[in-house]
Amino acid sequence: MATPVAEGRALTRTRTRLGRKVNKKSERRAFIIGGAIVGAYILAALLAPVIAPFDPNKQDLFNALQAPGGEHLLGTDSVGRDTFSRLIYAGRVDLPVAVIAALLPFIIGTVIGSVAGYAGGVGDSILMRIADSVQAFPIYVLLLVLVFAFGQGATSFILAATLVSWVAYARLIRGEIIRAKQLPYVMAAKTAGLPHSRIIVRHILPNTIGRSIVYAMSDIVLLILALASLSFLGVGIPAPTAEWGRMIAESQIYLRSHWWLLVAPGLAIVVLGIGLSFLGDALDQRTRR
Amino acid sequence: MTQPLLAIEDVVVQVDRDGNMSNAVDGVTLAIESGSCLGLVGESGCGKSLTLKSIIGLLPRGSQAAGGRISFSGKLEDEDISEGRTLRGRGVAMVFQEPMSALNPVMTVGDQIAEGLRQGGKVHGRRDSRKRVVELMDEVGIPNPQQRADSWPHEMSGGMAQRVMIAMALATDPLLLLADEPTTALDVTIQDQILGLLDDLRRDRNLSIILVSHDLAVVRQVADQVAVMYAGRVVEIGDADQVLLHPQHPYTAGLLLSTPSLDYEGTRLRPIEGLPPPPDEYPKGCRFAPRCPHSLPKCAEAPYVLEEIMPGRATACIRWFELEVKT
Amino acid sequence: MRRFRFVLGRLLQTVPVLFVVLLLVFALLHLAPGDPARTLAGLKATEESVEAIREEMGLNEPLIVQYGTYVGNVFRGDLGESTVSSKPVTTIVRQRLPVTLWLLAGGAIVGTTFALLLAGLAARRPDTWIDHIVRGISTVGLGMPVFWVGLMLILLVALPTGWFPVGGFPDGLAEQVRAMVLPSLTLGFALAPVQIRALRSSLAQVYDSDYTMAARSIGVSETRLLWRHLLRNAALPAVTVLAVQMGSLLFGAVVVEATFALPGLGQGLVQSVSRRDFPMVQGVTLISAVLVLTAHLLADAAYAALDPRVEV
Repeated sequence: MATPVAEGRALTRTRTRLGRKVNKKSERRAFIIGGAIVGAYILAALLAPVIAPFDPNKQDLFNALQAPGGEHLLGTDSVGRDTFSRLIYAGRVDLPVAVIAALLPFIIGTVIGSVAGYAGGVGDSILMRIADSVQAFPIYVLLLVLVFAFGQGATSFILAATLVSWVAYARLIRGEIIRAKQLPYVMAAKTAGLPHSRIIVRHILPNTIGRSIVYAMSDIVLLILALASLSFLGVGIPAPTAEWGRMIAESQIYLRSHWWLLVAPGLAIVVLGIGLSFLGDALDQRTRR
Repeated sequence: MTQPLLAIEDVVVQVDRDGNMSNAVDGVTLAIESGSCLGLVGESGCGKSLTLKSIIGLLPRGSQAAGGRISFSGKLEDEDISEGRTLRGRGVAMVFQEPMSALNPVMTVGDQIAEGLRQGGKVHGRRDSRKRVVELMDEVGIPNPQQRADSWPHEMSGGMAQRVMIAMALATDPLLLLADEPTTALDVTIQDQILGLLDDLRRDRNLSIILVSHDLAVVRQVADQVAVMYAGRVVEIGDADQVLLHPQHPYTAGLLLSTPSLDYEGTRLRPIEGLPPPPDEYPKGCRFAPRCPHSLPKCAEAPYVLEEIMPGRATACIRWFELEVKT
Repeated sequence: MRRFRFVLGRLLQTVPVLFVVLLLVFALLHLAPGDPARTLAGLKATEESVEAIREEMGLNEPLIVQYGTYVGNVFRGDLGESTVSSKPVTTIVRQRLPVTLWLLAGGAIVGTTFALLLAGLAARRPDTWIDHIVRGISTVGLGMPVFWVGLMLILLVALPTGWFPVGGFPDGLAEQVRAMVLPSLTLGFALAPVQIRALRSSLAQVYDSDYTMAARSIGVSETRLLWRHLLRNAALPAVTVLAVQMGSLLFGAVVVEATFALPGLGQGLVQSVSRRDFPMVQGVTLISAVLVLTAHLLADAAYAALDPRVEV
């Protein structure tokens, strides 16, 4: 066959193939690093009572502000609580709160978005106008105000995060569904007379949900940061619960003399953030193929 | 023969295929004289475009010039081909396949042509530059050049955009124009106009043109010389009329038979069987042998020699003298 | 002229959004648990005095009337009085807003410059070590809490060198600039990772484009190529990212102000939240929303100025 295709195409082909190969390798590496880090955090949180050498809330004023090393691995804070134990127990707060705060809007947004995208019409337009207005808001400032409105604590944070970020998921999935509606296999399912809910759940969602999952992964990182930031500002998780941001806030006045009190919880957040980002990147590259 | 304007010798271009570098262009030797037009033809992936880009040092990512010599009248004397970048804006310019994407969408066409003028260094000041831009646009047949100079690329048709592209190339005052499938993306009527323009420029400016195309009809319209490439090598070269009327290589003949709209009315189109091999699967011996209707066992062992069969005419087919290649 | 009309049109489109924002701000605080009148009256107040305050504040009117009054007041430039300091909210905002604007501008400039440099380096040579390092930086940066970065800058820069104050906002321009260096760096670091990602991929695309090849083919130097030809193409996504990130940037400013004890809007908001100062929270939220809307508008205007293809 001598159908001449534009030469340029052949070149682009080798180029993308080259790029893809590299991506595959870095994807696997990102997945392993990210998975190991996040896995370690989850394990540590689950096994906190076993791993932690001390009661995270046990005060011991005679042993306050001890330097790292010795009996207390990472030293103690101003009221003599063991920093290492508090770091581990904090994972039991930050991790589940962030995951739930990402999962709830993910579910709600996906349901609303798919129905709106599939049905279209007036409901869809109203939904999009609401979405526009919510997004015109400075979302994290809104988070702060919502926590103000509902009072401090994990529930408020989750509620606030849900109220704010379902919009992003609804938008994502709605866009994908509107595109997917035009695809042949969905058309085929429709002509075959399958019920609508079944078409959405069995045929459209599995193919469109990838990007939402990727978004949720990156959202968890941001939520952990937001939760830590709110606690740092004194409007997040209330005392005396161990929480990384709060630990930093409580030790802020010791920055000059006992810097490790601030460095340790900060690093705990940073390393988890890196792990989650790597996982998210790996997932992102996978769904793009 | 007089000293050619450009001569390249044994050019090798490697491309990355799944981590291995393979020779997509495998020892190409070409020469072009002032004021003439060389057509470079072949199926896609045969390396003709890579050969062209290696001359001006614009090989795409994932490919590299691995060997070869280049001479360019008065500028380069038998230097390594990887020095090709020194020819940019200094006597060699290029015209691309997709005029719309080859123009920067956020610069006016006049500004982009002026960028070419800057490289010549002969233009001084804004007003002078503007004057030259308008003259160039007029030369390539753009109506209302005064106004069009301030247009954005997206306001132009494909044909007009290609004229802008040509004006941009001319702005560098080139001796040699490399045209990479310059008409492929255009409508047939516009194709003719652009080819006509290239032909005019060649005559008026004594410009040399290397025209890469998969379309024999296009090449035939403007080329004096034709080089046919297959699997990274030149398999036949000679005067355009000679090569296209009396091919001396079965591949050239196959291309001609599979091309409509040449003068072979009444003959049925016969595509060449099979597909050209990718660079990492080039066969031993004659690379066309697996697809060749005339191949013999010895073809698979034949070394690659471009044998001169008469002055200015060469073929790589070892059976050229015994075959009456019918077209 | 067409551009002007385009921007004007966008301006008009934001008006309804502004009303919804007003409604949300209003609803949020009035439907939330907690009684502002009781907060104001104090713990030991009698039922009668609480009722009197409630009457005075108009809290006994139907919600719709209260909303109408609120919107009317806002448009007359009256955001109410702080229940803590009894000063008009607008006065407090006017005092605090400059600090926040300084910080936002500083952060945006630092972050974008930093991102441009790194993304430019990475995009020139995709999939090389330099690209991997830049991507690594953005991944690590993305996971860093803003306040912690600020504290680390204090620990590692301000304390050892003594060049910059660890916090506060002194008088005098020179001193103020000095006081803003570390906060701007902190906010810039928070913005940069997102900017790097957007810019790297758009610059890589631009470097791979046919028009880049065409510009190179006529001998344009790499430096001129970047600054004269490509930066404008790559700036478009940077502008968009900056606008989309405005909300996060504001929150970042809130946190940075708390970290460096800067008397800006954010610090005002945090204090008002913990003191349950309703009018202040309302006012600052509204101002933040207006800031975000303004940023979106500016981004649209910049887009229209940068890209001739924008549908006007």
